[in-house]
Amino acid sequence: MSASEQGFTLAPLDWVAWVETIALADATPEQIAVLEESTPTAKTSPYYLLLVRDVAVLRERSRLFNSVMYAPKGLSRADRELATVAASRINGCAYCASVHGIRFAQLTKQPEIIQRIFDEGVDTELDARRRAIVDYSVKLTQVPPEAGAEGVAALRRVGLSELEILDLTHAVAMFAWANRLMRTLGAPVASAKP
Amino acid sequence: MRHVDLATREPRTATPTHVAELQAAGVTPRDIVTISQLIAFVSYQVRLLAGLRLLGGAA
Repeated sequence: MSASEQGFTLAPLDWVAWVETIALADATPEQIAVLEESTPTAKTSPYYLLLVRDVAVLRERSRLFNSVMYAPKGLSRADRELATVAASRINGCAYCASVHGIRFAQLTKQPEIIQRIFDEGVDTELDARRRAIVDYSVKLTQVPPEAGAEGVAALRRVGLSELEILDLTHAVAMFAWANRLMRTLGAPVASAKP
Repeated sequence: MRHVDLATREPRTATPTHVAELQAAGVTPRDIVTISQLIAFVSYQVRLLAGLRLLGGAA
C-alpha cells in the first residue's frame, strides 16, 4: 500500500475515536489527574478521553511513555523521534507518524528525511547512523527476534552506546504499543485547527 | 479472539467494523479500552524483551 493511500503526511492531523469517549464534565478527580499527568493537551484529546476509561492502565502507560520519550541523557530526542516514525510507518499509523515526524523536523530542521520515509518507505537513502537506527527499529517492529545481534552490532559500529541502544529499544517497543492503540481504536482525519 | 489476533499481527488493517463487532457482542467501551491496552502492552513487552536479550548478548 502506498504512503498516500495510508495518509502519511507532515501536516498536522486530528484523530477520531471509534468508541465513545468520556465527556470531560463527567470525569472523576482521579481521571482528571491522570489526564493532566499524561500530556498537556489530554483533556481535549479524544485519544486520551477514550483511554482514561481505564484510568489505572492509562496512568502506568503515560508515566512509562513520558520516561521513554523524554528522559534526559541517552539517545537524542531526534533519534527517538526517528525510530518512532519508522515504527509508525511500518504499523500504518499515519497519526503517530505525523506527530513524531513534525517533532523530528522541529528538532533537526530536516523535514525532508521524514518526507522521504513517508514517500519512499523505510528503505529510503539515509546516512549510516540513521540507517542503522531505522533498520533496527523496523526489524524490532516487524518481527522482534529478527532485530538480531547484527542489528545491535551495526548500531555499535555507528557509535551508539549501550544506553542509547537501550533507549532506542524502549522507544520502538513503546510504539508497538502506541501504534496499536491508535490504529485499532480510531483513525486520523485532516486537522480542523487553522 | 479474532480482534486480539488482528491487533497483534496486523494493526494496520483495523477498521471501525472490528470495534463495532465487539460492541455488538456486548463488550463495553471500558472493556474495549482495557483489552486494547493489554494487546498493545504485550506487543511492547515482546519487543522490549527481544531488545534486552540482544543487549545482554544472548542472541
